[in-house]
Amino acid sequence: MHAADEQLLILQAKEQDAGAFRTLVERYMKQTYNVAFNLVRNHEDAEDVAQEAFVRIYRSLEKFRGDSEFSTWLYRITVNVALDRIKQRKKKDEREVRNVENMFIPMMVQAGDNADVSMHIERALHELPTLQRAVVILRHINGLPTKKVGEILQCSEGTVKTHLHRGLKKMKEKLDFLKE
Amino acid sequence: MKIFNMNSHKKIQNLLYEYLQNELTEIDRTSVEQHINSCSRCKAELESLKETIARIPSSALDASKNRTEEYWNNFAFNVERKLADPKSKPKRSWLSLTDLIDHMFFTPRPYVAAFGSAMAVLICILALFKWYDHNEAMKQETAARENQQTVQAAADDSVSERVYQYVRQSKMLLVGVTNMKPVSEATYDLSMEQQKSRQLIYQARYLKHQPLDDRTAKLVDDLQKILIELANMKEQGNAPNVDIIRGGLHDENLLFKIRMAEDTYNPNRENRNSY
Repeated sequence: MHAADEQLLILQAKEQDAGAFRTLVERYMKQTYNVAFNLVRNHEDAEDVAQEAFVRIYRSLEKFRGDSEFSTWLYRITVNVALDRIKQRKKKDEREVRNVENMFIPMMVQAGDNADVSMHIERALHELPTLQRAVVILRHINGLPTKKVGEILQCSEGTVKTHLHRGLKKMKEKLDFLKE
Repeated sequence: MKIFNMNSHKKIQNLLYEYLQNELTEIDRTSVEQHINSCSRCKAELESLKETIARIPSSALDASKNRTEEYWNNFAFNVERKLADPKSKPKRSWLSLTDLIDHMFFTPRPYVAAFGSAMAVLICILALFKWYDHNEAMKQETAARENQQTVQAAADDSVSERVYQYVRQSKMLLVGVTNMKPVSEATYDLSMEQQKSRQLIYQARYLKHQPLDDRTAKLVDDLQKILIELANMKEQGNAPNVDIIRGGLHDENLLFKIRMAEDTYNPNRENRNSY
């Protein structure tokens, strides 16, 4: 989609054009869902996070001045909603034991078995600390430039590069560990 | 032999990803190549990163493929349904405000008194508008600062939480075993406990690969030994073997060490220090 077309859609969406907003949603829904999923690590929360991100986008459309790209803004909101969801989940004490069991049963099944490579990668990614995970998702998986990732996560490019390097290094260690 | 300081290694390592993606400027590219040609450590990092990138293609993680076509066809509709709440309509109060200003300022008033009143109202409205703008800016700044703190805190939480869960659950399990009543004369049914201990042993194996302080690492190791004892017992254990568990907990003063670790790694505690 050309930047000019997107700007036009945003303007129309600001004017309550439902079709324009729908087009924007359909354009970005899968990418948003993928970012959400890899942060929150389950499909149920990913669906809520992705939908909530678009709801917040719609409610804040008139504040969007176009200083950054629409996708940067959308990713930033998605990351914020996902982090809120992660925080909420941690507070639920009843899910402690289930979370620990869910963490380990897949390892017990996969160790020594011919597990799917994607499952290993997903597992290794989901065990990274949140910030490193976010950087690896946005920079490596989604291929966004370092500068844009910094704008989304509101940190410097140096921080992005450091966390990318550490995150990928940790993922390699985990992938090696899961192979054992 | 060239001597590099830590900063130059770190700087080069931070450029390696972009180097492999051909995203560097000519100058940076040359700097990286010159460095790795004479630094075996960074050269090894480069090779390791190359292998990692090859093992993690972006196509391997497309979670959207787990959803059906029908799901995606309905996604936008579901977002619209969430927005159907009248409260989600964007507020337009500022537009009516400018309309009012327009009306007050540009509509000709034949009477001086009426004109004076209109100017007074206009000044009040402009002052209110300025205050609202300032308030919004402050809120955004606070939200941005809070978000940064959240992200930083979350980054440190993963291993700490795992340590907390491990010591807490080990304690619950082992104390539970020592307080068990025998099923029949001097025999104990340990099947459920042994299943749990195996899960905790896997957790210990993971934690041993993490950067922990010496005390925590030793505690993880000591607990693992007792858990292995428990896991290897015959399912219908007899009284003396359970006493081994009791002895292990008391001899190493483990309960005290567990309580210290729980306190240190408790995610609900605001200030955490290494103990």
